Amino acid sequence: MLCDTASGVTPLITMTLELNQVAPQVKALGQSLTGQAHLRSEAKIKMQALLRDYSTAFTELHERVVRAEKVQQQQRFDWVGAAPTNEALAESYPLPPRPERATVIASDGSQILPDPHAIALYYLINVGSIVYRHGSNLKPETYNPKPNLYYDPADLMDEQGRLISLGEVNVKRDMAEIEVLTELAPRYTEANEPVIALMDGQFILRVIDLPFQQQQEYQQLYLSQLDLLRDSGALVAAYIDRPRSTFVVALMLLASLELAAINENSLRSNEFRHLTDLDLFDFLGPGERSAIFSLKAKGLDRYSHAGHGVHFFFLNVSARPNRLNLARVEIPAWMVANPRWVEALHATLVRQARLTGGYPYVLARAHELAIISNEERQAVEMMLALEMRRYGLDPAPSAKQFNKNLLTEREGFAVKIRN
Amino acid sequence: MTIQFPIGWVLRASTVGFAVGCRILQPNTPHFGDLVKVPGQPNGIDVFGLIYNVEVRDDPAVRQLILVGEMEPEAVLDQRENRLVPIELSVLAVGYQQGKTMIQGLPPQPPLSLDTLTVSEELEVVRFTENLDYLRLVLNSAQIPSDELLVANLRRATLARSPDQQYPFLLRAGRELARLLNTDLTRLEAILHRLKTVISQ
Repeated sequence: MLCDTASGVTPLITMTLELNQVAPQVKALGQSLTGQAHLRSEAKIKMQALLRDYSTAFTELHERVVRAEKVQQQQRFDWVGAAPTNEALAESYPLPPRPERATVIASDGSQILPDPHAIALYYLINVGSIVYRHGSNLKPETYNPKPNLYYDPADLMDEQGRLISLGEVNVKRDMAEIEVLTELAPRYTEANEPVIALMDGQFILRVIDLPFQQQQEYQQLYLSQLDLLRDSGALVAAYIDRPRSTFVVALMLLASLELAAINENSLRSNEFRHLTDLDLFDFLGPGERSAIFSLKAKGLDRYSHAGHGVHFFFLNVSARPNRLNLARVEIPAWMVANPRWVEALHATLVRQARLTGGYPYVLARAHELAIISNEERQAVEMMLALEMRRYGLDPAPSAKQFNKNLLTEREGFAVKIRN
Repeated sequence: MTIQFPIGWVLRASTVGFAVGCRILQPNTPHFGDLVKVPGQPNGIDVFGLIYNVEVRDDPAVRQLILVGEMEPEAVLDQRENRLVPIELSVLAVGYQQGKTMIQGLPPQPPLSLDTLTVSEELEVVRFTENLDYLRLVLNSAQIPSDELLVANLRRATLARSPDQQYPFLLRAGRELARLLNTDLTRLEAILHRLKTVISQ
């Protein structure tokens, strides 16, 4: 502290980051970004030309994708990319007329992660959801299922006594999110209007951090939930804002190679590595979507066999011609088969995103309903401490946490919660 | 009009007044000038006050929706009824009730945070305004629109009475104001002029 508070002078906050040493690096970062922009611009011109050249060359592209998948199988090399469907790749698909009435259901989750330094080992999952009925003049319905507090050793430890991984907590949260959609969707699908169950983030369940057996179990559970959603009559989609994916870039890399030249080396030395799919689709006008692609990656067969093969398109939700606001929208194969469903989804997502100026209203609200604030976390810990004292237990954090709390008290706790 | 359910919760308080948070679109959200009560204090005191400010607090999400301008009725309902658009009422303490005795003046202790606020029903308004000692307290309060507050409050107190009692009450209130403001005739005239409209209604 550089001055005292008793004098009434606003205290200066002690700064630990030496900004004078960061400043030159920030300058270098700026220069690097400029250089990257130049490289990207050149690569983008090449790649968009390829997209136009191969816009309807579905057979050639499929042959290359099959070849890349074979390389993957033979070389233990994970090729992830897009494959064309039957839509011209370089086309823009205009904003369809919006359905007069449509229902959108969204859910989102957040959690307090288990912390070995906290007063007790536990974790908590909270889910928020909202049902928004366009054209109804009705108040959207919000729904918060009971938050789940996990404290049983069986929930916290694996068979070897290791603390549950953050990955598994995330999977449990994702499962809780889809379960809410599955619970709510059938209540609204009887009306003669599209009902969209909208997820935040990827369509697939990310289980990569889990042991193999658990991966299988959770994927099976997740697919059963997807089956239920499909059977309910709801349309299902996942919305990824500002995606960093390179699926179509990977496909264009294949297009740039001769079929025989597709091997591990050529796939690894990617001259388009500066690009993402967003660069490729900057020609989309307000409200327009790209062609629909199918996603090819190791481990997605399970989804395809269940009829939920992952497909996606890019969508410019912006209302202004001079401003691009691209999202990736993932949908299952059974939705691609029905163009009316795709149109209803396309129009409704744009309508949702334009409410807030760029992001679906329901996802923003579901996030708000789910989020666990610092104050709420502290309230949970307070309740926990009282309960522990009641049973003669000592609710003490670790010495490390205690000292951290002392140091950070002034500026609030740094809480490890996912937003 | 009788409103007995809580319409808000005390956010912060002092003996001279308190701020109350409430949600919009409660049936009959209270008005400027209403007599309100924070009942059931631990010390057995009900605190009375007059609402002198109703403020819709800023909300970044609402601001964003306004800026974008693509408003839909469903989103408006969501913001107003589900998101609890924060409304803050400022209340000037003007009296309290201890047991059956109603006293006009500042309460000995302020309400506590999270105490509930109710709007006084008509009988209570009539009972409280039988005594007009609180007029001096309102007139002397700085940094509030005291003249406007008095006019709004006396209008409500008049309408809470039966028709045959309305004119006598206004006459009595006017005389009390004339006594209190005998050194500031311009101010008195402005208030009385505003009160005349109550009679004409």
